[in-house]
Amino acid sequence: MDEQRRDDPDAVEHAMPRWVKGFIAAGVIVAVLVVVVLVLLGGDHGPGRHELGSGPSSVASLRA
Amino acid sequence: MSPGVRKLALTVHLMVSVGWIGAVVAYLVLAVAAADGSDVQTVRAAWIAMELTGWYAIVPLAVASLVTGVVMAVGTRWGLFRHYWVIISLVLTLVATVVLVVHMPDVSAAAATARAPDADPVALGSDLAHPGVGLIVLLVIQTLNVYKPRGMTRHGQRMHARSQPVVDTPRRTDR
Repeated sequence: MDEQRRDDPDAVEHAMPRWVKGFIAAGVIVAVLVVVVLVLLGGDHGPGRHELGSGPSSVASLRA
Repeated sequence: MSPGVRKLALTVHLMVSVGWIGAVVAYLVLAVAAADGSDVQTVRAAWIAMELTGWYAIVPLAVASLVTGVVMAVGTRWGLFRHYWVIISLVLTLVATVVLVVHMPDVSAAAATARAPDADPVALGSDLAHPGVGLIVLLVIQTLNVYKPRGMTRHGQRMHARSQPVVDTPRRTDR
């Protein structure tokens, strides 16, 4: 019966389900964490930035 | 949408969505090889392959998944804004696609460094976070799409009420 209701686009549920509230809460937490990480890294978080700070050009200059 | 067209759209949507997950897994394997750094040639090859996989497999599959997902939602009774699971899937897919497209130029820059004979590609570090988190997001979307958890938005409830036939009170007959 649950299976049938799950696949029925017209099954009505009036209140916002708990799983949606959980998803929203988790999304807010993840968004805050991402912002904190970006702030700590100065917004420069692409490949090669973690170790060197300024990307591929600095890699080449390391060898020079 | 006729049943035949709906089935075709669903087939294409499933193929590109699952293909997107597979391509990200392949990218993650290459990212692990690049992060290992024990062999310079492997690191060079991995970054070049990551760029090619990203631009020619992951980005097209992501865009196709987004477009076919919207087509499927709009073209069926599920709708785009009627059910919470559809909205959450749409938002997560949009975020994943935008982050991917914004991130790829950085991968191209790293691949260009890996191609340069005088550069040390081992110093490029790793790119494990983006494909790792991206894979988790894609698995969450896939799970939502299969389970279709209950929950209709206010908009969905209004549309549902509007589509219900009006029930007449039984008329008295003189029979």
